[in-house]
Amino acid sequence: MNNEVLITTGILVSLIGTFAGGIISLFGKNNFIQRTAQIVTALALLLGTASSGAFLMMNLQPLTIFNLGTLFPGQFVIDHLSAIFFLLVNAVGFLATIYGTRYVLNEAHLYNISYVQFLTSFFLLGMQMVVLSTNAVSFLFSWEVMSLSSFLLVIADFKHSSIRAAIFYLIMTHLGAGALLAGFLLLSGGSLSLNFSQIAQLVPQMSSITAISAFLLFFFGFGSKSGLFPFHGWLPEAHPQAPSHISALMSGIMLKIAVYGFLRVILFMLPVMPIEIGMTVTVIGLFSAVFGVLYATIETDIKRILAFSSIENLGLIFTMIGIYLIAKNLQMDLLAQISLIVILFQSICHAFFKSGLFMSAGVIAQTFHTRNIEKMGGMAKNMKLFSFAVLLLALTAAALPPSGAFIGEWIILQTIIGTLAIAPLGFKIILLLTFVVFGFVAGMAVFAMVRFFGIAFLAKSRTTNAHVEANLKHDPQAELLIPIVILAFVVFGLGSIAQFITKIIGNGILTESYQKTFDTSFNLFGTSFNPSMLLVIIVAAILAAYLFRYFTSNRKNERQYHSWDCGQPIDASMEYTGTAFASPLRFFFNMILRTNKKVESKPVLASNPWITKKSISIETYPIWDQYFYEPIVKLVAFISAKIRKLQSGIIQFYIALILITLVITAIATL
Amino acid sequence: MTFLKLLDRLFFGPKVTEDKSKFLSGKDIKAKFAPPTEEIGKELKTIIANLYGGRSLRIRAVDGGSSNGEEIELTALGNAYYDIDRFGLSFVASPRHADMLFVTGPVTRNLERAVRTTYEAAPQPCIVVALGDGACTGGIWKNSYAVVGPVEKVIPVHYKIYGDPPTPTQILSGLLNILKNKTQK
Amino acid sequence: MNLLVIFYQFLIVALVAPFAAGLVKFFKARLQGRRGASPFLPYFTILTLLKKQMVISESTSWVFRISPFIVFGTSLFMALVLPLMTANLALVTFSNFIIVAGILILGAIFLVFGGLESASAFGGMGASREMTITALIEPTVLLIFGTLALNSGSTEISNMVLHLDFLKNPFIIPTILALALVALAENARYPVDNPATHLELTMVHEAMVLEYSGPYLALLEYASFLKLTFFSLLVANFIWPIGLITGSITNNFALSLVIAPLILLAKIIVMMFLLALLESTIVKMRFYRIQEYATVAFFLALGGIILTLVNITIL
Repeated sequence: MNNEVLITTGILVSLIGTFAGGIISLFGKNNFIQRTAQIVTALALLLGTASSGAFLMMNLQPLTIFNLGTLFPGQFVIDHLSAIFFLLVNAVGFLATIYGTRYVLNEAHLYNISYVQFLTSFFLLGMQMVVLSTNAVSFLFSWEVMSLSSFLLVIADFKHSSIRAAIFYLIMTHLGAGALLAGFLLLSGGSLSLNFSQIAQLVPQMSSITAISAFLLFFFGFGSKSGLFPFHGWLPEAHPQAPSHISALMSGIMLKIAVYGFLRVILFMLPVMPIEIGMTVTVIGLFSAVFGVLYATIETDIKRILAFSSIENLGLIFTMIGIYLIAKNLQMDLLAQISLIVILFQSICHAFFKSGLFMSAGVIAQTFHTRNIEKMGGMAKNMKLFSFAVLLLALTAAALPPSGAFIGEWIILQTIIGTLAIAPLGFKIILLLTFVVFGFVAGMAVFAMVRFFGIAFLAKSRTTNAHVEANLKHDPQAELLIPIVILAFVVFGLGSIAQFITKIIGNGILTESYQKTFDTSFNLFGTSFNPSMLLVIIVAAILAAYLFRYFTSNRKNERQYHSWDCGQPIDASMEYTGTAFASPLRFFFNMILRTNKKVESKPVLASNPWITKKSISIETYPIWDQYFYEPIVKLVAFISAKIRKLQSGIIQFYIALILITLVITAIATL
Repeated sequence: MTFLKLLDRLFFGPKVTEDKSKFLSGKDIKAKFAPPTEEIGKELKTIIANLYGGRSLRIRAVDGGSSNGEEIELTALGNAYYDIDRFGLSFVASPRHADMLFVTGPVTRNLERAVRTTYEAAPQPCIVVALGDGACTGGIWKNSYAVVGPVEKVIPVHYKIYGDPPTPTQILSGLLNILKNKTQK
Repeated sequence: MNLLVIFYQFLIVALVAPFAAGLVKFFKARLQGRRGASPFLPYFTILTLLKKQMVISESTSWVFRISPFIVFGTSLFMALVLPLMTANLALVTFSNFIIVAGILILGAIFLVFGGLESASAFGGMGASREMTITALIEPTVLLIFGTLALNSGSTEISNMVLHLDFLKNPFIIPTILALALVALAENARYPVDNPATHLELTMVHEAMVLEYSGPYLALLEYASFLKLTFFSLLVANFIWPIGLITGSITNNFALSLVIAPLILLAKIIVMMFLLALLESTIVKMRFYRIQEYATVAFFLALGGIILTLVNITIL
């Protein structure tokens, strides 16, 4: 059997396996059935990872997976772009499936396990099919499967806050899906059964109004799904409420599926966009990055910190999409190709590290029974492997050397400096702005991740009850720990093999003359940088430091004692809290963050008004709620109140309305 | 003052540091200092020899309930007249960084725990110097209900510098007696 | 062979670093009208610390133990790779400015973790302040080196020093000023931080090392000495790149191996004197005014890059 048949069969089996796993878990809540469902889904996803990985490494032509003929419009085909995202869905899905069952079983009083497992499998199936679709109907159908199953999963614990967040999410995702439908209708000239390749053939005759309107519709549709400012309001509400492996899948993978959809449309189905469009995308991406990271530094719910960090990362990815669009317009080929490769590489890194971080947030929430960072601490002392893995993930999220995310940043910053000299004037300004904002966002992201790891893991635990202390004495359960450790090592090590990964990604993208750019090292603009050597040198430097200490001092000469406390006994309540850690930034960026600090002081004794009980509360009123969502909601409510006057209850009025509508329709058709 | 006047003061200002020899001749200074016993004196010499002759010793001042007279004299040690820096001694903010502890004042009952934890927090080898009459013998508060006693009742003391309070000159000559470096010449 | 010369630079810088830190204190003391400690005192401080016992707090974990190694390791990496005495010889790609900025932050955050581990308010406050300063300075660092890269045509710092001519490109002056401001902030010097204070409310860098003792403290102090040395040498080399060993074996190679360290010493003495003069004439700012400082540095760097871009576009 040749490779193509093997790969096609593998992918088909993985789709069927995911579906089967979902159906099996409907048969009852008992442990055996659920574990079987978990194993079936996990194996199917593993097979899918292997198949798409093989497809990418062998650099094959697009393969048709299956074709239902007249039963369902459109074939399901895997090509280079799909394979990258299919690999992501399957790899992270595999690890999330292993993690998910144990996670849900730990909180069996809260979640219905058969409900969660069934919906998880269909969520994964929906994402897999979106990536393989080649037709608007199948794309939108799979998109709906994905959105609905994630909506139902956000409600999984049926609490009031989850339902509220999920309804917000449902509204935004359906507005987006409506925009996508409108966009596809515009592109295909009204007939949805056209394949993507057939739409691509219509591109040269497309009028610019059609192209730009379609682009804006797709931008809203895919952008709101990936959490672009200001359409991101649902993201920080919905992602924390879902069970942690679903948060991981939503934040790590579903946002990438939106990026995939946007790339599919721009690369294959739209003509070259005018510069203003590219500039708009870039500016919105930069705004998204800045707001995301600023709010990530001040939040106190660990999952909200990670949700805002996702908004920041996706903002940076959309900035690079904007740069790609402008470069394509100005015919700067090298810049366009490099930015496309960086978009894909950063998507891969973000998928891995964000899923790992959300899964670890789930473990943390189950250890402390709260998601509030002010009640955490002390995990690093005894949970050594877990804290090491989360440290690696946090370092990657902060884009520090030698992790994978740093290499992506390196490529794009190097490219910007390299092209700054030769770009035309307007583009120079955009590139300079991007460079500055990348630097700012990088600094703030480091702050957010240091705060996340430092407050939640280090020093002593800020909750002191027996149950939490028992949890803190050992590493979490293996099924929860191993996926996190795998993701940590993969994404941290991705930096060292980055040149090979980018070479594989660049297979379909780089033209002949630029093939040498991603070879055994990155040959960009006068530098020849080998990322593997970076890891070697850093490790060598740290080893040199250790050897210096080993040979010049006595390792056994140490003693344990309390922290230096100025002679007065202190306990964990004297530690710095997360709010305090971020207070300088709250002060400096007050105009954007708008936190309200209220200090109430009530006298407690009638005889002495100076003895008071003080309480401090710090509330954030997000700037987009105040200036974007609330005015729109008020406007919609106002218009609806006016239209409600039509519901007068008088049946003759309704008959009159029907008559008027029929008359108007008759006139219109004639 | 204007910037030019400041520069003038910095570069051409008066140099007022007193000479080292002033702290070495014992008679007219009337300094009184000694290790508590012979063995502790020998132990002190071994510690100093181990720490490279005490060329760089860092000091943490612990107040065990003094009248702050000794603290003021300690503050004066850092100024331009006495300049403790040139002997390699400096004051640090944390006992973890310290090689010497200066304990002042008789140890009051409220601060006994503080003195003890400061001593435990300092890494060995750590030289403890009791500064002032209150720290060495209990001073005028001896046998009071509010004090535990001289410092040696709480932590082991290597050296005592008497005085109420000892003048900076007396403190310096006591310190120079401990150090075995070439500045003694 | 080139690698050996790089190691030679590394050794010289590592040996000179404590002398540089001692020299600042010595000059400051002389300016204050007193004798001051000998400039060689930090060597004895490090040696004494290496012999002492360590007292480890029971609230700390493995992160506390690895922090000194990572902080010291990143400083060693810088001493190896940056153009302090040699330029464009070996390991040149690793002096790419993005990598250097990233490694600097890596060192800074492990110090912050060490500070947070002490479970006391001192360490937390130092950690929060240090992290804020690093985050605010970050875009300025990238802008500075981006400008110098555009002016010299190479993104590696090792190459930048060789091709930058102060006299031909006078518009890198604001960039060099911004670099000086950033160097003051990164090294915890006036007006951002006072390295000689004992009041924890005024500490930024010192507060994070309050819990360390013995050999770990020796590593952290040595790392801060190294950082001071290589930042001052970098600023000096950008202003006047003399005494740098470039290229492989020539006739005067042996002579240059002897002269280069002497020129390095001269640069250190001049820069440390200027630093001491600066510290004796200005005061430390209030911490909540750091955004003004960062803004000034940012706009200087922005001015530099805009002037460079205008120059490249027009000429």
